[in-house]
Amino acid sequence: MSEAANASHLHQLGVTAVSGELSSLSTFLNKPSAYVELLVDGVHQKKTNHVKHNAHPKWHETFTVLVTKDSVLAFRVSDHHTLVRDSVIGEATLNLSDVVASSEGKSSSSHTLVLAPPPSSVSPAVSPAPTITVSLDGLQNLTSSGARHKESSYNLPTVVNVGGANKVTGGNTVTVRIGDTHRVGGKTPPPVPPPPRQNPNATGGETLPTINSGPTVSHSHASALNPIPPLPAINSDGQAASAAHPPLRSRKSVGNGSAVLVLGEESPTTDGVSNQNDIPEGSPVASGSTSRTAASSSVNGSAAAVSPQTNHQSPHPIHNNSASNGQLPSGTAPQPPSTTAPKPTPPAVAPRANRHHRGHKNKRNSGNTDGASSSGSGVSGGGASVTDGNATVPRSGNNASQNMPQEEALPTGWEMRFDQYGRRYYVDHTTRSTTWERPKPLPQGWEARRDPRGRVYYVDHNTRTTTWQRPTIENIRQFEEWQGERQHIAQLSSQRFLYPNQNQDTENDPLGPLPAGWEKRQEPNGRIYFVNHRNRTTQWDDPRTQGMVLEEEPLPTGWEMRLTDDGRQYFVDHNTRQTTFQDPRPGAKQITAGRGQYGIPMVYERSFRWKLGQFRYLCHSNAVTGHIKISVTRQTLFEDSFHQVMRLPAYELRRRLFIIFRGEDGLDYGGVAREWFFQLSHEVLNPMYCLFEYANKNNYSLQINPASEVNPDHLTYFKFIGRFIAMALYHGKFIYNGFTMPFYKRMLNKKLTMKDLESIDPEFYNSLVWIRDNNIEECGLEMSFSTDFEVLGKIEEVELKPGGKDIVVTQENKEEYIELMMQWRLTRGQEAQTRHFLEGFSEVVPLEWLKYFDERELELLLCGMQEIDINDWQKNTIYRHYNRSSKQVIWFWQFVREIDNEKRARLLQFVTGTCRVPVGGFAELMGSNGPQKFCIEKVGKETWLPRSHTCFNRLDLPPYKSYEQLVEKLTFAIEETEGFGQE
Amino acid sequence: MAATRRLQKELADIRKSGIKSFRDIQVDESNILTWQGLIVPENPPYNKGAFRIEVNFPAEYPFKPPKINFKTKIYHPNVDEKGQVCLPIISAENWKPATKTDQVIEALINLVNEPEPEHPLRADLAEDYTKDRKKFMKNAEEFTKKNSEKRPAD
Repeated sequence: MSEAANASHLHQLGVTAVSGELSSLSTFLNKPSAYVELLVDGVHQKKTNHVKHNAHPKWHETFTVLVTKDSVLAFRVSDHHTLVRDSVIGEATLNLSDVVASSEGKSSSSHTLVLAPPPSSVSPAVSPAPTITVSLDGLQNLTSSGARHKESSYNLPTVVNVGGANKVTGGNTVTVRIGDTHRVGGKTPPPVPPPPRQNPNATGGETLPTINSGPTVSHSHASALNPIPPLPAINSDGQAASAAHPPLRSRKSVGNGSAVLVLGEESPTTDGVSNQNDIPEGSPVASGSTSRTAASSSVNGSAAAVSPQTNHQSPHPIHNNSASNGQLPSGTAPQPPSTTAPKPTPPAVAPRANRHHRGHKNKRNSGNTDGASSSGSGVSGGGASVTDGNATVPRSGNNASQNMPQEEALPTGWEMRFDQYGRRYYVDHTTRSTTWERPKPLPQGWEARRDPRGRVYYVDHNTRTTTWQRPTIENIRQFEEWQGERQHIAQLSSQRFLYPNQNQDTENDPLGPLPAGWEKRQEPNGRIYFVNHRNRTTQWDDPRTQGMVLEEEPLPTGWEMRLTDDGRQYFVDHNTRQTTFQDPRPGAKQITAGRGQYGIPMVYERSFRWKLGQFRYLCHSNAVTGHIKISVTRQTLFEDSFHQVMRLPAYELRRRLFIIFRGEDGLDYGGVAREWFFQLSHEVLNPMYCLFEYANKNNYSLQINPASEVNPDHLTYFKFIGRFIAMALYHGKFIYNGFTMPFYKRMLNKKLTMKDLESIDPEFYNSLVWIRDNNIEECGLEMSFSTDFEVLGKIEEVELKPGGKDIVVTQENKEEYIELMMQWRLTRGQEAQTRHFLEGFSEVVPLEWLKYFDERELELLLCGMQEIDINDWQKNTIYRHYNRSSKQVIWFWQFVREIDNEKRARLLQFVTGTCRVPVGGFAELMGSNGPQKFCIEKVGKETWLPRSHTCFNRLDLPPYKSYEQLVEKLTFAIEETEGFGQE
Repeated sequence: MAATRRLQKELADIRKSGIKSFRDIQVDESNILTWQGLIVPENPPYNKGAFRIEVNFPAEYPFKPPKINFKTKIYHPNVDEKGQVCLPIISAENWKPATKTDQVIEALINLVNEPEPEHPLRADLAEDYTKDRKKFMKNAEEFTKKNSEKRPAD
């Protein structure tokens, strides 16, 4: 293998920023609040917390980074300022190649570096120069890599990271070589703890399960290093966690102490601690319960000594295995057994697997390969090499693989093999599956594990959380975004409203303004009441009409005036048995009715307020007396709530809610409940639960994750979420994040259309439109009424109708095909989940009650409105074929300013697909391909209606001739939800 | 799989056509969604070698376009260090379900033979290509000799 390829090999290195010596920069009163940023090859990686006002800051923060042996580490020390930008104190660099050369094979080294002032600095050099002390750990990975590559060019080192961010005492990073003599640092503990042990006593939850195994991990320190609070789901209360998973049952412990798997007799590790990290692939004895026994039995002795220091716990899979799992106190477990979920013979992997392991000296081969040999995997002692082992391997293929410069280490538990044609494929020993695609390594600090039922889950040592979903950079980014939202949530919940501000209405109120000192308010359930601030009383009756006859002209005979639930006047004509909002008396203000100048109906019976009143009336008249208490702890919000909501009969959820955040004073007069709904909705939609995913790449609207079945309890959760969402509607509270428009349409049982598809998957939509608009006879599309669906790497064929596999799509039947395909695409992989959601929902609120609303109103009802900053909106809008001063653009903004908040929200929904505005304002508006500003494009002719492309936040606005025309057309477009006919 | 029929036909067609510039097509019977093949360019500096590519078809093919990756390193303004190539015919905007893989391959071969420095993935190479063609050719040829695969004998 070429040297270049070698050099680009990535290794994990633990880098600790230990301390700094900045006294020369400090005065008695002014000491820097210094922190360190770590850059690898110029790329910013991590930074420490700042140590406040200290000339001798001690960080002791360790980061695990991926480096090549020629990487350059840079440490930039900056002074943190609260009010102004942080200033750089100095920077020091470290060439890893130099370090490796001088490390003489040691696994770790410590360096004190002189900080060079930043180039831009004008301050004179100080003496003594400021310095920083850092230590590196895991150097042996770099030193040995060269040799290893010479030994075997196909084996990729598998990097296992232990303890995530906790590498304070060093040595927690271990590089495990599969199929090669591996070396591990002196103090290195085994990389992964034993698989969670099943313990019948676990439900007591006294001792906390932990995901850290490293004997050298300093837990007290570690928690200091992790400012991020553990996810609520990952709670410190074993009981609550397990309670949250009713379908999971604690199983019996597997016979302790029996069948201890002795591993590693021959392991020539370079240190005292022998390492059983190797994956005993193909070992029949290492599979299933035997191995678990092996794991647990060895832990048994030490389990008693485990103190529950840490409060991280994995929520889903290991919650029943409290006591001993994973935690191996220093010194008590010198021989932990293999922990990377011992693998049985990978079944049915590609034929004639050729593994290119040379020089198998370790125990993996000694004991286990015998068992595996029957599978023909060919791990013979000498190791079958590419050329001599299998002549059919084309050389070219090898070259190709060597040539690719970007090869990264394979994730733990994965192995690259070659089939008989010399093609690479990858074996995932953890899930016992194979794939052609090179797996992406788990992100830093992640680890794959297997729960007692053999299901694979992933541990994030950085945050001490677990998830069922294999993490990728993308979903971690989403998670971080999600997590970043948390701090804003409480604040945001108070900014949502439906009709809090009644001032606007006074203009339209036929009764005129309220008397001085009075205020009209709305109860959370929507009922209007009136507050007299002068004597601090409240009442239901409107003070303007109370006890007095209106001194107005009488109504015509047969007419009666009534009030809607939200207090709006309407008139009943008993002669014709009709109702109208229009006052029949002459001289009354005329409501513009009928069709506008441009032929578009001007009045919409869609009065959101009225519908809201109808809905509230239904809620009110079906209220159940009494109240229910829901008592939750913030850290375990999800589990606590899940448990209590699911325990009650659904109708009881319509009782008055009494929410208690344990340990927090305050009675629930609505505010606490409001916060509960807002917080819990944010938890429930946590992307790491795999229940929902962001539609497109924008992060406003959620849809059901077709892969949610990785979470074994997903259907119960969906039912819970259905109940919860119904509760929010019933009790008039808002949730944080909304769903996609097609999802609301499902709730309303409305037919899904092509427009919905466009908002979810524009590429797929474009292809379907192409098929619709072109003659497909001569195209050789070779399509039938069936399709493929890939979920979790597995592809399944689905027939769009019975026997569809054998029905060819033709020009004649393509309409049907397009319709079926569109429906399938919009619902694929979500049916069972949706059913459970709707089931849970309708137990609390009948779905029929929603029939007043369309999908946009439903979103508004659930999420509430936000005050929309029109200046910010306008500032962050771009134009195509228009410019800022085009008259249509000026009219557009005039229109936006003239309409009320609800209309504005509707306009936003029309263009962006949601009424929600990003927390950071319109500048952060996202489309399906990343940031995408609100865009107004000149399209079509004045007779056309405006159109929108929600994936691109784009409004196609025809060049209308007058303001009135624009208002009429735009109003129609935003009111109409049923794909209006294009003129 | 639903896409199998179409891909089998496309594969058969492409094999039958016997394009000189694209050969050694390998497809695993069990996974027709991944093809490998050897690009054998005509034009200098790439005519000193051959380049292995991989075509990956999504499960939603032909509703979504295939992706192409170079498995052999190539010194080319339109192919990045990871082997990713930007080919308009398979971009999201231009993709049509009727586009055939042989058209895609043809477009790729044309791009290899005639780099498009106006839409580079590697701006440095594109700059050399437009401003200092001699230097570019020299580097590319050396790189090709060193890294590319052997061209088929015939």
